[in-house]
Amino acid sequence: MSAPQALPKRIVKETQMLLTDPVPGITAQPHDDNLRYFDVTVSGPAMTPYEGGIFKLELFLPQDYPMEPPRIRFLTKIYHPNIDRLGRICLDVLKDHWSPALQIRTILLSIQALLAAPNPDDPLANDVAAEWKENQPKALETAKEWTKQYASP
Amino acid sequence: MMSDTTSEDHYEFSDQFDDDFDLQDPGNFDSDNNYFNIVNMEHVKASERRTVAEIADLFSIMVPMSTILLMAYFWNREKLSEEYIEGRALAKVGLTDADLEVQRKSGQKVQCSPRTCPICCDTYTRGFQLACKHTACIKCYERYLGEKLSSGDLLSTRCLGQHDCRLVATLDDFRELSKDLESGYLEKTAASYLQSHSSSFKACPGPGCTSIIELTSSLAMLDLDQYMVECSCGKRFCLGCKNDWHLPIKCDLASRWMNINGERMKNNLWLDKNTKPCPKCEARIERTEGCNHMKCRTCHFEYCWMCMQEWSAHNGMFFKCVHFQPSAEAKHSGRATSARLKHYSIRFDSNIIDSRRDVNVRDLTFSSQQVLNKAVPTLSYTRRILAWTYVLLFYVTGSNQKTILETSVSDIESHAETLAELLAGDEQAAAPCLELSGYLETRVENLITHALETNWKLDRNSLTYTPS
Ligand SMILES: [Zn+2]
Ligand SMILES: [Zn+2]
Ligand SMILES: [Zn+2]
Ligand SMILES: [Zn+2]
Ligand SMILES: [Zn+2]
Ligand SMILES: [Zn+2]
Repeated sequence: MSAPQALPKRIVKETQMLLTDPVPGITAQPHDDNLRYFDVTVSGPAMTPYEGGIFKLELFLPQDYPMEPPRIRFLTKIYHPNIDRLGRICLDVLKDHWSPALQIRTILLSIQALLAAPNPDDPLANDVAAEWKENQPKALETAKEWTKQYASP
Repeated sequence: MMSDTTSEDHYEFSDQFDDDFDLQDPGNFDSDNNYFNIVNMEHVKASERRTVAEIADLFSIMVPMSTILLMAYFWNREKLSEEYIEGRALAKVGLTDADLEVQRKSGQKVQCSPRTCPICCDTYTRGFQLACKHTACIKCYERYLGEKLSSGDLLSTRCLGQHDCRLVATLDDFRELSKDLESGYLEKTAASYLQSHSSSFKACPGPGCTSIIELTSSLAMLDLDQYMVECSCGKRFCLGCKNDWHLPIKCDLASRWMNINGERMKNNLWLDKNTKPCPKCEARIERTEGCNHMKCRTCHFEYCWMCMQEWSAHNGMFFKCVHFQPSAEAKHSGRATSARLKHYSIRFDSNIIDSRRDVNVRDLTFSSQQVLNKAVPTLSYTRRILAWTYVLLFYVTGSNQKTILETSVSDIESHAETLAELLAGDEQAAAPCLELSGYLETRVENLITHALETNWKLDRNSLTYTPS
């Protein structure tokens, strides 16, 4: 085992900000034994099939953060064209459009925005995206059911 | 504007290799035609700079922006032009017209009173900013752009100063930061240009070689499977797949063969290069000449180096040695393919090794320049063609065409054998050597044509064979 490295100032500052000045509808709590690993919750935005749900995510800051984007994944099952069965998220700012100037806070806001505005043209979960395009009312209904079943607080 | 004179930095292939190459590869290159040039990276960079300058001129944009757009379109000028005119090109790199105006200026280093870097959160006084003037510390910029360079991602080198700023760091900004970053950037764009033009530029796979084969448009249109080149470093390779050249078979079969044989060839599992035990007395016998007719110095047994059978069993013909007959019990078992593979592999290896060895005869015996210039390269070329013909024989199913090919192979084998014996002999039999070389050239040329033009039916077991 290598000796634990001091946490970079950037991560310390971001963590402080997340705890003292949280974003409405979002929580992010670092693990005591691994300060790069966060338990995250995002509440489903109003006027969406995810309304009323509390979605759990895990977030990890890799060694090279912020040169590398955070790794982030849904733990709660969710019916969404840009989120697959394993909870992986298709979001440009987590990949090509990542910039070190972005922060955990901005990324979590983007994810909340993705719940409000799914993009079935750039899908990760192909079957869900197909349903979303072919029979949107039914897709919304399923998303609502899943929210009730898996994401109830 | 860029200068158009680039002819100094390359030379025509035919000036250098005319005599030699004509013999090495009869029938596939006409030395009067210039199918390709051997050039260096500077030549490629000059060609890249011309493209960049043309696009910059066309749209009145700066050269660094032209470079980024061209990279985003993988150097497809037509597509870029079309989408630029339709107003869609900038969005592809996440920019707007307004950003483009700002990006006309390059970034700069700045000296400031102590402030906190938005990236590392340390206090800094030496910062860097793109034309947008959003600042981050210089260490973070150097590290960020350095990492972008090593990952080869030059399209999303975003402003570090502000998270919603879209500006990208361009060549100008890399240059402002450091000489190293600038030259790294130029290397990467040249590499991108080279890759995107892979149908006209082929980097030489020779170890340590930095030469590039530039195909003229007439060759770039053709099926490259059949074209083999020799680089100025001496490396000969196939233009289609960049592996060692493999006439008379196509790249697909050659690479299948290398997949199942590459490891063995490295380790020489089935063929100790030059030493094998005598089949009769098991004395270690080293072969020093390039022929297959062996005589054991210990027991005087005469045998064939390839099949290890008594030499007289061939009856002066190589047909028996060429043609593979699976043993009765192996025929219907899964081992049949493996046995076939071994049969053809031995012949392949042996010819490949000989094709290299025969070249060394140069230094040994003949003083006649004519013989050296003609017979030695012809023999080496013949061996190589034979080697790859055995690969073809492994993959094709039985047919009249296959029998015809086997007959040619056995005829060429025995004549190559005779030539090798003559070359290794003491008397300087120049005339027969030249005569045999002429004969082999014709026969080999016909064999290549036959192999390439026949619509072979391939053996499914051979195609799917994987050694366990
Ligand atoms: Zn910094
Ligand atoms: Zn900026
Ligand atoms: Zn070379
Ligand atoms: Zn090839
Ligand atoms: Zn012996
Ligand atoms: Zn034999």
